[in-house]
Amino acid sequence: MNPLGENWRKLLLLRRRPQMESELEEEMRFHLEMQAEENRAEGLSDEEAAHAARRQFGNTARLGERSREAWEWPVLESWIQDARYALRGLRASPGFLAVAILSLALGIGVNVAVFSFVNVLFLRPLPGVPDPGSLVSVYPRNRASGGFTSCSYPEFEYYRDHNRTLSGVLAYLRIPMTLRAGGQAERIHGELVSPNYFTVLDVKPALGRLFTAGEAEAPGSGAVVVLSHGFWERRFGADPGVLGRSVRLGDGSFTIIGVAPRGYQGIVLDWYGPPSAWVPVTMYRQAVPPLAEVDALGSWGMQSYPLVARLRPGVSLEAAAADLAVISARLTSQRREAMGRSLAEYAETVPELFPASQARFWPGFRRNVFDFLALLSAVAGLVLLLAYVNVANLVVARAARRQREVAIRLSLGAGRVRLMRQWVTENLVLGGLGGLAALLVAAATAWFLGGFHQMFRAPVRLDIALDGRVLAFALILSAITGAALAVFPMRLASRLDLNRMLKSDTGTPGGTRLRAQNGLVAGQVALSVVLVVGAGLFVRTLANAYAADPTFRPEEVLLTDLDVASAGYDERRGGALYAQLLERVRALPGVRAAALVFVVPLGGRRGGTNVETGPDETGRRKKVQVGFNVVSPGYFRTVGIPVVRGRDFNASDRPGAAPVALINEEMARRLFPGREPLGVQFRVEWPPAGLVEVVGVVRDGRFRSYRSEIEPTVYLPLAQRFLRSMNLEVRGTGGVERLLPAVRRELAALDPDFPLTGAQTLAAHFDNALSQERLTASLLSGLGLLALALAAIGIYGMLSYATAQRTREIGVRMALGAAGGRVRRVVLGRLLRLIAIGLGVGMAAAYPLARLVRSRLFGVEPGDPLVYLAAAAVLIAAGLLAGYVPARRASRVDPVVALRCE
Amino acid sequence: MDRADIPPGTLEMLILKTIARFGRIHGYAIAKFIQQATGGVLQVEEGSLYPALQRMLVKGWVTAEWIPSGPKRRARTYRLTPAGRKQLTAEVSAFTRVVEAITRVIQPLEEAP
Repeated sequence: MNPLGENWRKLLLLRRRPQMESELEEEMRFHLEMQAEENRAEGLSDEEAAHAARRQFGNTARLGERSREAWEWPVLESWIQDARYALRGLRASPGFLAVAILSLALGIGVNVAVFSFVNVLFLRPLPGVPDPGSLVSVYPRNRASGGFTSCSYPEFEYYRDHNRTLSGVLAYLRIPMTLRAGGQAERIHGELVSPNYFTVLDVKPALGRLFTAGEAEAPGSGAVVVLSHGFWERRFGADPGVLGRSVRLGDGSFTIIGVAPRGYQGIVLDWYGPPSAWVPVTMYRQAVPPLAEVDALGSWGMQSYPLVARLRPGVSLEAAAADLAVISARLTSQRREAMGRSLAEYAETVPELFPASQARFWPGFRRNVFDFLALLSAVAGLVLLLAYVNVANLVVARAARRQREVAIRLSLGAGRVRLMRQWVTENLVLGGLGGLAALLVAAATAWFLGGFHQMFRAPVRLDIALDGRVLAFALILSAITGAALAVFPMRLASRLDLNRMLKSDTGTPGGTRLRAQNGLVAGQVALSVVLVVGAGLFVRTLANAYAADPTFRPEEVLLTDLDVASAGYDERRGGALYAQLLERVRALPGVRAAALVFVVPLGGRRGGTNVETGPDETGRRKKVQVGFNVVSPGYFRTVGIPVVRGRDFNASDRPGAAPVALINEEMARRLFPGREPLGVQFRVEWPPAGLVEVVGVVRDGRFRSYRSEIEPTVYLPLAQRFLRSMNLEVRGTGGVERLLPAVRRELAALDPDFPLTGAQTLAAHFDNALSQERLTASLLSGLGLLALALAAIGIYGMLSYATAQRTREIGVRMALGAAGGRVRRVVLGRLLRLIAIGLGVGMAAAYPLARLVRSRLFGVEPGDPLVYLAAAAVLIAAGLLAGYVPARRASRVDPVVALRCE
Repeated sequence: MDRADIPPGTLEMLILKTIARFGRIHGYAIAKFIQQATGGVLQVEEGSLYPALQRMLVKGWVTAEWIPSGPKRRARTYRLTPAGRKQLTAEVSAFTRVVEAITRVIQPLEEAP
């Protein structure tokens, strides 16, 4: 009636079972005694009375058994019994158990780790928010470029006020802020948000309150800040007294009014970290001084706010998308009015909606993330297959060893079904143990992968948690693997020929097993080839990528952000800070050169501008798009890029002096073919437009990434083109990280409040930029090695077994005059044939797979013969190495001993 | 008179009914009562009472209590719980429905000439 209560009582009874046994026994004895007494009263003798009572009662042993069943879970307990038996059997062969669990843990673990990424990026609902299913993210697509953008604030307001399908829309803008409290400045990730931000999300504060309606209506009102739970703990020691305290954000003073709940970590995973503070966007001028000159609330061109909306109950995402598309069309005329026709066309967008849980990062990265996850999944799948083949090999050997035992049990009447159930259980237990160990491997793998910050080529911070979905995935994968392993012993069992088995003195039918093992070994070789070829292609890609960087010894260059804007500096003070800091840093012991640069090459960003040359001989002007960068004097010396003609910038290139520029070789070739570039003047459109004169030519280098074309590039001197966000690069001798404290000290001497962030070596910066390539190369290399090792173990095991099987045959051959060397050659020859089959299959599979990932390769073709030849050589060498020992053993068979065994 | 095997599933109902009748009763007495009440028509292996009682204990239909029965001996007695009482009512009405239905099927046959 109430199965829950019943199971609960059974559980409670679990510990009382011995007592219940004795009570039951006592109760039955009581019954028998009473009956016997009655029988005696009817005149039977003592003995007859007791006998009759027992006859009437029935079989006490069987009745006791049936009573006990009432306390148990019969099906479950017999499975547990099977599992216990299986465990005992597995423990008896610890070597097998260790290798099998290790292989399965690796195979399953890598897959679980990859799945945990899929889970975080696409499956897990937005944490910390009630009813996350009704939240949608709005990312407009630019009509002209097809790329994703965000919304401008006026667009947001229009969507907010005119839709019919949403119960609320919020806008936010993630932006670095400088927070000062208790005399300490710190750069944080903040968010400027529409005042209804928390209302739409329906988040409740952990402490204090969140923004209230009307608090931040007019620009400049609402000097309040809500802290994230993590930041509140880290920075303020979770002190409830922070409420009402004021902190400085940028140029303004803000009152802390509340703390967001612990579970809420912001909407997107981009930017490496969750937001630390939320400020009403109406206060943007105070909170974020670099935005002070921008009309962030009124500009139609500043399409920087991602929108998140909550669907009204019963409204589908498609209906809301249609609604917003209609509104967006109406926006066109407003946009034209505000921006003018030509600019408005650039800003025209069509809104696209995603479930908020599936848009945890910039949608423009989706393609790359999908592709990369697919690549990771494919590799992980391959590893599982390899682990599976390896364990299957062991399981087959194990089953074959036990065949005689099995035959005896069968002939003694054990049911085949029961036997098979035991095998299935054994393999499921194996899969389960592997799965458990796999969780460790998964955690380690996720941690390892998490170290590659930009592995999705998107600044995504991944918080990999083993939640229920991941555990369920691990469980299912373990069960499938376990069940698939059981196939081999089951097939052996179903083919058992009892007569032959019992008669044969060796006790094992070699044929079936050897065929299965040969197949598995060839399969292992084939899988290894695929991984080794993949490793070769990606290692070469990585090497080519590093070679594309023109920087000399980037590990000797220290790189930090130097953002005077967010520290609240204007041009005059900023320029002074730049100059003084450079002077101080250059004077430090161990520093060989130091410079400032706007865009650090190969970091995924580029600067761009248009230039227009003066009329050439034919009177034509050339107008071209070029890359541009702003650097301080000494930059080229710092990074080791030679100035090939003319001169570097120097102290004489001051604000008042003649505007100058350096260009790269490509620009000289393109714009001034066959002409002396030095002394030529051209017009730069931005930053501040003006004529500049070429004073030098530098060696070519790439900007955005190693894959981008070398583009014409113009370099402008920082002193003449002040920019408020630069990077400091310091070349030192020996471990440059040691220079960081000294640099900090020099900066603190100039401004104790100035935050210095993002310190790393230039080499680490490139490593980061090459995360995906490094990850792929090291993953495939590691797995390729693993595959080789597994294949070698498989070959060794197979050959040892095969030669042991054929000891007698070899003995006969040798007795008939075959030399040891010849035996060895025959054995190794057979092995080579097997390896050749594996190589053929593996290469046939590797080539189309490599073509699939062609877009990820760089400087190497999917069919690169060198890689394939090397893979073949490595595999043959590994195979012969593994096969040599058993082959030599075979060649040393003593015919006398072998034949005496008969 | 021939003896018949007890219809499957009715043993528990008989036990519950017997316990309900006596309020508190031990296993031996239940067996004797069923035997006497049915006039020996129903063939119950006496011992099969005990697995059934264990099942009912686990299901929470009855509770057990040991009481002294003579010197150095005690008997386990059983009582119905409210859940057991509900179960009894349900089983009796289900059984009655089945019996009535069967009776309706077989009656015309007996009346036929």
